[in-house]
Amino acid sequence: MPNFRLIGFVVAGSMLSMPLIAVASDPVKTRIAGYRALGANFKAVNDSLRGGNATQVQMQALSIKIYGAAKAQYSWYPRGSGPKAGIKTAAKSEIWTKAAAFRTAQDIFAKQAKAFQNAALKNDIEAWKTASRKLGASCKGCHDTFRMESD
Amino acid sequence: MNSQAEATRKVKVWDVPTRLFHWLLVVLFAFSWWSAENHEMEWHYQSGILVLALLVFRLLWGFIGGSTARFATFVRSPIGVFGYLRGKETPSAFGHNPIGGYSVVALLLFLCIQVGAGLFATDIDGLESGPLSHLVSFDTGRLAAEVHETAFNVLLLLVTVHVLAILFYAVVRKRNLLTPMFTGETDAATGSSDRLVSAGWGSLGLALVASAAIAWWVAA
Repeated sequence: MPNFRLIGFVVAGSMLSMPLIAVASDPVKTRIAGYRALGANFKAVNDSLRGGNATQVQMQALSIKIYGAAKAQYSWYPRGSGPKAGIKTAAKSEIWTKAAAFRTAQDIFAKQAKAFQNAALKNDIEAWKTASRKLGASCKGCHDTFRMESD
Repeated sequence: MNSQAEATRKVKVWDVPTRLFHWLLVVLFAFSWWSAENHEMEWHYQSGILVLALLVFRLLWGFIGGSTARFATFVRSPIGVFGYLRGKETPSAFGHNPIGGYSVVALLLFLCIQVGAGLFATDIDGLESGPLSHLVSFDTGRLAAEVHETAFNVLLLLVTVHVLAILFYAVVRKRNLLTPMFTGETDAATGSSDRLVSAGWGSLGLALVASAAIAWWVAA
């Protein structure tokens, strides 16, 4: 005799998880969520550095998260996730039409994120500031070309 | 005194601090706009802090400043405004008229929102932030940035209305409102005894010190 209770749980579980799967598989939403988290982490870095209360533990934790985002961003731009009717995204179509240049910009960001992570291994606030500035510049360098104007 | 001499008699209407506030605000508003558009964020912060100092000064001056700068003088009741619009009541046109008074209040209110939100705003990358943004989360900082942008658009609208009103008075009413904001003097109305009652040096010193102290604290 089939286990109707088990089947019921599986069906109900599948139905409940569908919206979550749908959100996770939306590349634009994934990208936006990723960049929001990155922005929050980078704000935390800058707030601490400007406030003069940055600690090495904090910088290491944040640099790990930022480098994680730098690695993840390679998968955030699948073909078809660019600007089109009904989709709200700041990603310019140049990301896909100038794919090699975009890849270079991504590599620069990942390299600076790694450099920031390495800087956080030392207890040296000036090294953190320098690496953070270069990391910020790598973000801007990409945004100037591949992101629509934003505040 | 004959009637012609009476018609061209000049009287003080705006004190020096009020005029300086007005024109410095014009310059800094334009500069803040330019610096934001050109991503000159360090200049934008400095300009914003100066606008904050100006606003604090003007709000204090609205209570302890010269008579025509005081809120109690130019903020009239809504009944007074409707009466002025219908021409049934003719309150003195010395200083701000009843509608102009509300225009000033609206401008100051949205400038306060604009500057206040800017202090807590953060950009979408977490790279550029207002001087007090470390007190709020990234999401709140983003909300502040949206308020900052919306308030700016409202201010552009209010400034446009302000300039159009001055043009209306110049062309339709044949009354020059611009020159008095430079010279501080206006034509005395026939038979009117209206005049500016200036504030003392103590009031000026208090407003200057308080505005500088608050701006310094925020910037620091």
